[in-house]
Amino acid sequence: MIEHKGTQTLIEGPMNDRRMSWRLLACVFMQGFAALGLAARLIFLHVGPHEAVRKQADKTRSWESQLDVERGKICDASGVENILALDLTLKDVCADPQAILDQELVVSLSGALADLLEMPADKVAVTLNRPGRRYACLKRAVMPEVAEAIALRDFPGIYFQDRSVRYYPQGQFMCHVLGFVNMAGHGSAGVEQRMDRFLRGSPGFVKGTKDGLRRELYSKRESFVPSLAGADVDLTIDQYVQYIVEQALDEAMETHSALGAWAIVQRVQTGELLAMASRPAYDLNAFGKANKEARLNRAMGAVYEPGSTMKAVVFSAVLNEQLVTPETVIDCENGTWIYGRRPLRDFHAYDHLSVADGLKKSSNILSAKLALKMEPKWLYRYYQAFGFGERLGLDLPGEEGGILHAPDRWSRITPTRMAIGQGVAVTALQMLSAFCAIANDGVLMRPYVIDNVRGRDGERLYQRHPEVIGRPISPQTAATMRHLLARVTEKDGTGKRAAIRGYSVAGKTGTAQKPIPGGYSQTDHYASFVGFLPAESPNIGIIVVIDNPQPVHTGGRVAAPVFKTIASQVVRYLDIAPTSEHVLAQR
Amino acid sequence: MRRRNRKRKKHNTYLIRVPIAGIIVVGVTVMLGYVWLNQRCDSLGRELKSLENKHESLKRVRQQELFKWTHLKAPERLQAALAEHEIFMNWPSGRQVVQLRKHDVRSDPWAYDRAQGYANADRGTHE
Repeated sequence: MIEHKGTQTLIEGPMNDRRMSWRLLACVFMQGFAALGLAARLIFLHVGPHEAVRKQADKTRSWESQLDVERGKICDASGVENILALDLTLKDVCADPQAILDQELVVSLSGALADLLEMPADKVAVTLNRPGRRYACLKRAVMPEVAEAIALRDFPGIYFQDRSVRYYPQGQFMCHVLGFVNMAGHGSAGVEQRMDRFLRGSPGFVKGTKDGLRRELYSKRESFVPSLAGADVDLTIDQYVQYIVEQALDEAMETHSALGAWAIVQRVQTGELLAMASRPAYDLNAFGKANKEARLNRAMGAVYEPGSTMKAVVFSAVLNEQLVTPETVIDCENGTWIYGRRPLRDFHAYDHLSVADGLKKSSNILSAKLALKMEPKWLYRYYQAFGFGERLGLDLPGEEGGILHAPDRWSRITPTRMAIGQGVAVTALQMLSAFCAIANDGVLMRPYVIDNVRGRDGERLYQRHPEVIGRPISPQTAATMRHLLARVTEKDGTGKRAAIRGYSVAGKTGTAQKPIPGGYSQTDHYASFVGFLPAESPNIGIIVVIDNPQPVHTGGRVAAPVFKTIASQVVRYLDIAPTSEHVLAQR
Repeated sequence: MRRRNRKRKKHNTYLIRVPIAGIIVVGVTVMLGYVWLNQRCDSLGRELKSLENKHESLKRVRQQELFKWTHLKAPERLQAALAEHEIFMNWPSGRQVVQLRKHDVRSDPWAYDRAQGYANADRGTHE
């Protein structure tokens, strides 16, 4: 029955209800059937026999990658405040040569980019003018400011790629201590090499699935191992002390037209190094361009015959054995002494000198006679006890042990020559450590440059403590030697140019002829000065060695002033109080 | 007759029985819940991914700033900056330095000021 009420039409009755129900049921049934079919197909595809197809699909979508890890920083003695090496994300400037060629922009772009990248315009043009190529790298690892300037100009066909590099903000500063990281990311010199296991960290890993647009489906990550950033390394080197030393060396290199120069500043009581510099140097950010000579850390990796600075060791030995006293007078043969049919000469002729004056005047003959007062094997033991002939165990790669022959290979005159620093080769580090032992009441400390290693959470993974290597002489002998060495920088001593007003400086000059086949060179020398201050209560020890200075070549004239330049600034920077009562009274 | 018709009418209004309807409703709810959760996971994943990227970029910015700061503080740079502004610094001469020995310094550094009555106002606010 159909009933009309205005515009509404009502359909009622058992027949219509039944028809509707069947239609509905049919719809539901058909949809259900379709859904079931789809589900069956899905199940079939997923768990069915098409293993190869499934694997292919999974392979296309699956994705795995190694996550970059940040290498630890290297900081100076003040910790994170002064960063010396860090990882930095820089930009590679890339180009699409074909796109640029299509728009005929090679010439205009070359000029503009050459200015911004500080490259020759022709080189840029050659890189851009490559038909058919869609990729060319114009310059690698440019600073963000440069990349920003290029991006602002919006050059067509020019784009950037991120590149993580090891960067040394101060270029060649402290280059021999820091070392560098090679292209494979491994530390290859200096602290970078020695502490590589701490610095490099552990790279992460991620495995998952990507969608059709190659975006990672985060919810379908199968595994994720976060990268563990490398630990930070703090050095004992103070960058300001290092700067003072490097400045002084650069100046000395220029003034004396030297082939090389090196210097070390060491804390007497602990053995920690406050500065270690070597010249020539190289830019750490362009280590590939540096030659072998420039890469050599001469302060610990080059051996040289020390000359008169070695006299301090012989004097210490004979005083420690109580074979002489500082007042003992020795015949200095008026400047020439024939021993073992070989002449030995003094720079200035002396008739008789006391032991104390012999050190002050740096008499070769007196030193040789003192050496002969000891059994060769005992003299050898003292050399060994002072750390010569073997590595001191500095925590940097490339340390040399020097040359010290055993007594059974010595000739009759060997002790006399070794007493004046000939026939024995040492590193500057060994010589400085020996002097620091005298300064430190006869206790020889192991030198070190790495203070601690900090994890990213601040946890100390490694902490270095001062380490005693040996005790070559007694505290009494050390005190006597400090007094004798302090006289060297007095008015008529050979090291008077190392004297600093207000401070008593103990030290010794050294002028060594370079060995050549068949003898010693008359023109090429090593000039050195090694000392510590204040002499009464020593705090720091410093050594300066200048390789082949010209025309002046003596340690007193060449190296002692450099020592003074360094020491006078360092004592103020480290706030070491002056010892002279005269100066204190004036203030 | 009317009563019987009414009964039949009432019986025909339930197209699907209540338990079946319930199952369907629960099933649909579960499916919708699953879809919603899946979407939620995806959106959280995207959010995490974008936060990861942000973290990375912030790390880079931090590195850049550290680099700039280190570069600015480098002794050579400081020296150059001083020279650029014609500021020449020398170490103080002996007469300009006051050296205090350990035994000259009192254990309580404020004691001298208190005795003199210096800076009482400032200290008063803190004490």
